[in-house]
Amino acid sequence: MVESDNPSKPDADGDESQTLMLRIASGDDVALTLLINRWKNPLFRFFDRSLNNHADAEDLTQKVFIKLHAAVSRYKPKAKFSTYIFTIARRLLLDEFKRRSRRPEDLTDPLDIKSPIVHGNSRNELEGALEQCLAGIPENQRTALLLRVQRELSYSEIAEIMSASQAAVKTWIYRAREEARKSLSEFRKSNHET
Amino acid sequence: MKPENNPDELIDRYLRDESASPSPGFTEQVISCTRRTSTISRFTKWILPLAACLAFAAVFMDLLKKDSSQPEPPAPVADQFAFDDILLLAEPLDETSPLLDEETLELFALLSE
Repeated sequence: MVESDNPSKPDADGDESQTLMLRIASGDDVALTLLINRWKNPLFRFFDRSLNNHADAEDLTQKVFIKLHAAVSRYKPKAKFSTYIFTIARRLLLDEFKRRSRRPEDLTDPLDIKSPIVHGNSRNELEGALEQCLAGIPENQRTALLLRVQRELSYSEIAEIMSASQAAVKTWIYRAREEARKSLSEFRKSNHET
Repeated sequence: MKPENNPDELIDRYLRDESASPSPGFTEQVISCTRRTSTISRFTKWILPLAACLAFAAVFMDLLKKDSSQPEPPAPVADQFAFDDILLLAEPLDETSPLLDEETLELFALLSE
């Protein structure tokens, strides 16, 4: 698949979210509910695929909203809202990895997880193979690919979120996708043989 | 190529994770959590300046009290301490006759003659 720099998904959510942020700053609880409902699934899916753990994904999603709410009075709609919210999300994700590295007994690190593969269900087996592949690649490659595929963000937006150059982002996405393709083809080969 | 056989389609479908969502009641949970956090932050917003003001007031009152009270007697100097000690040591000898050796007694006898 050729990665173009024109994301097909419009960021209509973003503009509305900026308005919601301004409403939240003036103490509007309904706006907060709307904002949470709008962004909880994208954030949860990003964390879920990054951590391979529903509970941790939910916990980090909640932390994003708490941070967002704490910073609402200082919020200035400069960049796109998706860039803003995923910058917070990525920082929290990195903090989580740091926390886990300080506590090596915590075996929920994606690199430690070997997902159970349910035999007899090729869909689950395939997901298991991709899950292991994603857990095995470096964080920056995984995050760049997830932001590109899940949110269809442009390279420049991903670069802004990850504080990196666009060239680096392109390379990370390319490498992550190559790894995913490789593990998929290995999975198919082994499945075909058995 | 069918979409289910296209590796990129399969990878993207997996990555999108579209069936996943947080548990029911997540929104309410977050809202109550943000309320709690904002109450705490509001509390800390005024309690810290208040504590600083109280501490400043206490120090200020202490200084004022010191200024208004009578001047304390000057602290005795080291020499004065030494002189007092000598007097104190000499006191018990006032009423005792000194022990004199024979030569001294003879000298006193000669002088008295």
